[in-house]
Amino acid sequence: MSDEASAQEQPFLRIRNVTKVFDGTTAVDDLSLDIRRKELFCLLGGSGSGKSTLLRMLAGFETPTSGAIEIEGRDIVGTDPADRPVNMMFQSYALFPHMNVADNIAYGLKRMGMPKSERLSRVAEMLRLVRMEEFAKRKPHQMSGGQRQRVALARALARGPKLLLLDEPLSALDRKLREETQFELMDIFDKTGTTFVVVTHDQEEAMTLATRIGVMDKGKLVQVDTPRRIYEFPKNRLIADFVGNVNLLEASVAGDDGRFVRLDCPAIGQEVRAVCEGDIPQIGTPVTLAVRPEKITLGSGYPAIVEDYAYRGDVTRYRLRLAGGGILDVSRANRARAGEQDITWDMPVHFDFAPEGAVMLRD
Amino acid sequence: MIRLLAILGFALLYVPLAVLIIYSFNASQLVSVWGGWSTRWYGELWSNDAVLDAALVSLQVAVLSASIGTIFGTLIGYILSRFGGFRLRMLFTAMTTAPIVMPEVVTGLSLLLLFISMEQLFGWPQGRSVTTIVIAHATFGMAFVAVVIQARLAGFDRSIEEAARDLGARPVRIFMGITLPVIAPALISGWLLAFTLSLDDLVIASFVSGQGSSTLPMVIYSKVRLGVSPDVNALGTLVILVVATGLILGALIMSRAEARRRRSQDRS
Repeated sequence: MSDEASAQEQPFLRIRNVTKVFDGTTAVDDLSLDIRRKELFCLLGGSGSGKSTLLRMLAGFETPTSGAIEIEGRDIVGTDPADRPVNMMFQSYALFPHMNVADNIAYGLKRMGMPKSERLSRVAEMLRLVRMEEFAKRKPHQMSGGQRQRVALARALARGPKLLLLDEPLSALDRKLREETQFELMDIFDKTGTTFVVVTHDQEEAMTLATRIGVMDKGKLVQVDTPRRIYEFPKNRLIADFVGNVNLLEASVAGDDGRFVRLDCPAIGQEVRAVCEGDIPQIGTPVTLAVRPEKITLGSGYPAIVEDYAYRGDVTRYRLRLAGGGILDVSRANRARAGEQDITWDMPVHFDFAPEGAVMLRD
Repeated sequence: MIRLLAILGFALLYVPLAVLIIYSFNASQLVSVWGGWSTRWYGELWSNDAVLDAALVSLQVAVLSASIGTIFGTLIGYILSRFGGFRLRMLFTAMTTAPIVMPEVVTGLSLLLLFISMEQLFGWPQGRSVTTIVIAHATFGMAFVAVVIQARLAGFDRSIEEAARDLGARPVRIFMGITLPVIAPALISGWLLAFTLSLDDLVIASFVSGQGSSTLPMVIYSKVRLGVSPDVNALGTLVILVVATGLILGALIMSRAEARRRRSQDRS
């Protein structure tokens, strides 16, 4: 193995058995995580999942009750936020209201003791990066939310941190702007080559931005994986439900056909096949069958009755009542410009899904 | 009905002031007899050394006590709103606001006793003078400033202080370079409040002033006791002018800062 390869093997950021307790409540519970250099890692979770507390510990605003946080092998737990090679972009952006854009960006550079000429060129470089050159003399209150967001990003990047933390970076923007900004953020990520850790509660944002996602719940990491694997092979019901839409049906293990697990699903009324990650549990074990609405086709297969549908432009969502009594959501892309709806209420239909598109969950 | 009551209330507050202002332009020697318009009493004031001296003392006391009160009041307000965890915080908060509700007679008397015993113990402050009035006024000015600052800091987005720390600043620099400038409008309006309160005070000043350190309200009061002369009206009008300017300025600064803050916290 070459030196370069081994350097990449060593995790850039290593969180080891970190626990944080506030007045008896455990916000982060014995959490360990390795993040590689130049990764855009998303911590995804609901409110109270501990994701923000973890981020604040990385920034240094909170001290872990126990555990270690290492950057390039050096423990930073005792280091003041001012001395860490880490910068943070705050959810509220936290721009200094009495300073203009250029002064905001220069603030961190001044604290480093950077000479003025160098500082000016660095500020100009940052303004270019976020395409805010014309706004250098503006005060924060004279700008829109999107512009403030960019300034906050430029300010956090100005010192050239090894690790950039972003706390809900896009949550304050409206939907349209948020989508645009996601791509800009990725672009800036590519240009700077800094490691990003993003905290978000928005699964779509995490899916779009991240190279890897860590889903947090009750202070623990439930699953750490690529967005694709999180979506396709969620580890449990919580993740399946949190990321995207999913049908969760109760089932029990009926057997093994070599590639897939065979499941008895009373709601569908027949045996179905699904993907099983790891060893197949004993026959009879209660499990959950998870199928995404878009993985289901209408036409042939298992019988059901259309209970309801909703036309959404790009897709139509059908809600089927299954033979065994359960409910199943199906989404069908509207490929042709359908003049009328061919499937309507109370119509008997048949649906099917490929075993690759269904996952067995162990809880 | 409510509107009528409001008008009545305002009338109660401001009609006497209006009457005083109008009568300050009275040409007549007699206070209660209208003798046409004139500004002679203002001219008379200008040549009255006792009044001018007192005005000077009052201004000096107001500026000094407001400044001292603002410094300490800011520190108290900062500590009360930031270091919320410490024991006896409730007691400390109550003690901070106590001078606001304490009868002035009590405050004045207790300060007088304090100054006397201090002088006996270590010879300072020597007698009653401008210094003692400044100290006395600073104590209650401080209480008002503390309340104003505490209220402002309650709505303060602390993440901007964290951002400064994240960008490499130390606590003192953060306080001086970020916190203070952001709350500056509250600081100024607190100062103006302390300034006007100091100008107004008669009771406390009466207790702690000495030879040659009579404040303007004290001079006015003693003049009135000898019988109301028209130049008192003129003097009263001038005091109203200064106080009103201070209050309005303070309110304007606060509301402008508030509006700006709202705008910068808008989402889009």
